[in-house]
Amino acid sequence: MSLIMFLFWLVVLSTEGYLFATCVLGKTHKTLHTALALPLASLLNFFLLYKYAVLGITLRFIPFLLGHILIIGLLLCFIQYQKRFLQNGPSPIIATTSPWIAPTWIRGCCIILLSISFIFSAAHTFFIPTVQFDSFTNWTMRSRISYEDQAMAFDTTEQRGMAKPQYPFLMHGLQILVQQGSHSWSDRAGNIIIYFLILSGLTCIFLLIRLLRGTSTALVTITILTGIPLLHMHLIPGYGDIPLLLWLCIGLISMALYADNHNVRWLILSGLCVIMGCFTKLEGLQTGVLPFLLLLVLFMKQRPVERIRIAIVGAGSIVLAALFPIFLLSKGLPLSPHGTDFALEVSTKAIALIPSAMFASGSFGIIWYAILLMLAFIGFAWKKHFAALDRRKLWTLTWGLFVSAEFVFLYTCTSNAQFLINQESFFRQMLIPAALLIVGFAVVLKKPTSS
Amino acid sequence: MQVRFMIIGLAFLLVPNALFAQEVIKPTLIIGTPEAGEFTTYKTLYQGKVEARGQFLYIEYASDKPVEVLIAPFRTEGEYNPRDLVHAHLEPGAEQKFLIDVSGSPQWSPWAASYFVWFVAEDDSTNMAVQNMESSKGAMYMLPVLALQQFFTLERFQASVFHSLYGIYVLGKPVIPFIGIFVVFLCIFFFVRAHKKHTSYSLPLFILIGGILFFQLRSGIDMLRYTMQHIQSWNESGTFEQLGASYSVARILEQEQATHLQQDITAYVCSNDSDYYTKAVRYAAYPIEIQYAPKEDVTLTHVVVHHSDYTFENDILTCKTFSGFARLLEEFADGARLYSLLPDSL
Repeated sequence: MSLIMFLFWLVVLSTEGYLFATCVLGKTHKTLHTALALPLASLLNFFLLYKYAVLGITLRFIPFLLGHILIIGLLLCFIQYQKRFLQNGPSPIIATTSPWIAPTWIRGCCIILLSISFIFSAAHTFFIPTVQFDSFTNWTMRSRISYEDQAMAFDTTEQRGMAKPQYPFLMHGLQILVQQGSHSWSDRAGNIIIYFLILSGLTCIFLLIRLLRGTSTALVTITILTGIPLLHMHLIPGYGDIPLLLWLCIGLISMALYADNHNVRWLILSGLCVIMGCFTKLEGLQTGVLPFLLLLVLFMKQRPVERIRIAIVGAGSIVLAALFPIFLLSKGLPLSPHGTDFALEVSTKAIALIPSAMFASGSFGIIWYAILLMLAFIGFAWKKHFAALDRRKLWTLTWGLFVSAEFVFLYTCTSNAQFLINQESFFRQMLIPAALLIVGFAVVLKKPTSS
Repeated sequence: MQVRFMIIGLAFLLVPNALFAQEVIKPTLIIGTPEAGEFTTYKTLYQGKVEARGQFLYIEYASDKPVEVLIAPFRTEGEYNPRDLVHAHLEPGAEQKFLIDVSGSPQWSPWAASYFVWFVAEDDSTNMAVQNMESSKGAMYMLPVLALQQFFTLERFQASVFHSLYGIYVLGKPVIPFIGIFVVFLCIFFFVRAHKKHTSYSLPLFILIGGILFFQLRSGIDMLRYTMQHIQSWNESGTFEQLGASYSVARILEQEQATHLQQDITAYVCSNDSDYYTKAVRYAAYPIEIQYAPKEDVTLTHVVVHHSDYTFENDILTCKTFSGFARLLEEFADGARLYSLLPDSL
């Protein structure tokens, strides 16, 4: 019964997400629509859950089913009439230069590494139950309590198992949904749906980079990204940092595609991804919405003709991203589970630990060395006007640099320093700027030439 | 002839004599293993610092019962990292002599001058007496082999909380800065050369990608080893690192709840470990109430004893501050015991 219901909800979500992707991007990129289906459906499911939480509707099979049928109906109507509201679907992007073809040994290594990542994460997701400490308290535990309560749980004491009601519930929503219609909670179903979400996100990044820079660049980027040792381990569902990181990367590449062909649909997709980031973890506000809005301001300056469209996307993103914080405040809950998150408190111990954390611990491998080297190379290439550098897209690196600076500040100059000193969340969170910079390099660099 | 004689003579000098005489024990890293929690309930027989330098720790002892020894090189004066602890099982006997190969600790190096040594046993009736403990140097030519072994040693992490990774250490030094700086240096060198000669920049790019992929392949090997270990452990015994048999405990509690429909069951997990195990049981058994400590206003129905001192005599279970009449329901693969409390103690 559990399996049948899981498959049923997977079909519902995939259909809904595919239709939503068609609404957003038009009809030209069907493979991309398929990859985007689950992430976008998770966003719609979040809105449904949000509405139910506000209205006090019980989280049961029938309300969920009716809600999703209604959404699918609305999406079908929108597709019928969308030409009246938006311009045509984005034209396929053809790389302006011939795409870089990686040598066979690099492609071979990439395929081996991706296979290892897949074997490791799939085996742990499918055959081993939840093991992470945070899943037993904030993530899967909250989904389970909410499933049993038939209402979203907002416990503030850990008596029942969770004490951080501030966590947005995009991931919880999916875990709760796939249990509907089953007799009891299935830990495996809860983990598998999040695993599918992560796989969909990675596939989207691959397909989007392929659109811009070709298959080899996409393959190398996705391999380097998933091969960062700590990220590799976090492919097992458990924490929200990896989905957040994936949505931000998709948002960044979509923005780059918008910069290429000026089709506002890519910008809408980018905005949706940033909002998904906010609904996955509240950190999405400062790592996603803030840099996204700053880049929109840049676009508005560069393209005065499209100013209104860009402003509408920006305003829409602000309004949607604000929904969850407003909801929390209306329930009398603080925005952060840690009371003193933003109190300035410079920690010399944390400052001294930053270099060893980034350059000597096993969490990142040698990725920060490579990032620094690439930044130096790009600086040199910019000065010397190298053809390998797409100068029009240099802004893509600012997102990653901005988030790096944010986290370094947060973990050295506020009370969050303890999470660096204790070797906790700093490492997981620094994966976000690392991923954004890796994706940024893939966007900025073209086929290497000596001219 | 002379050269041959010299080679044989040199080899004889390099290979420690002790190697020929004693049995060598290869200890394993303790972090992330079920034993790590188990040993916290053991009695400490001795813990302290041993001044020693070399690959082996030679030990002569007598003991009536098996003893576990945990060893870690001191990083600084008086400071060791629990992640560096290696564990060896010592058999009982009147006159035991062993060489313990301490090079399995990530922090080990031929220059490590002192070690933290900790002897524990299930109870304190071992009558253990250490007659001699001293260092014994390994062969110098073995250093590259040991370095290579350390490079490919499975990097230990705790599956329950992997906020960060420790990194690979070779001869007491972290490997990542070496590889990172080496790759950066090579890239810059070939980049500058390509720039001067006006040739393609492909080579430095390939070196960079190759360096990253090589390191990721190394950590990928660990991931595959973990996959094998975890799947095997879960399939064979239903246990998995610190998670132990928490899910099995929860299943039995659920069955108990099904047979006690008239009463909500409440279980207390009596454990010396961190609260991880209790949280795991609480998640897996939800909505059954699981407590960290018995509360006065709540009637307990079950007790789970896990990695904790306890006694169970004449149907009376005593664990930490709890004491009551009980019946053993089940013993689990991780050593946990589930007791159902009898009405007298309710």
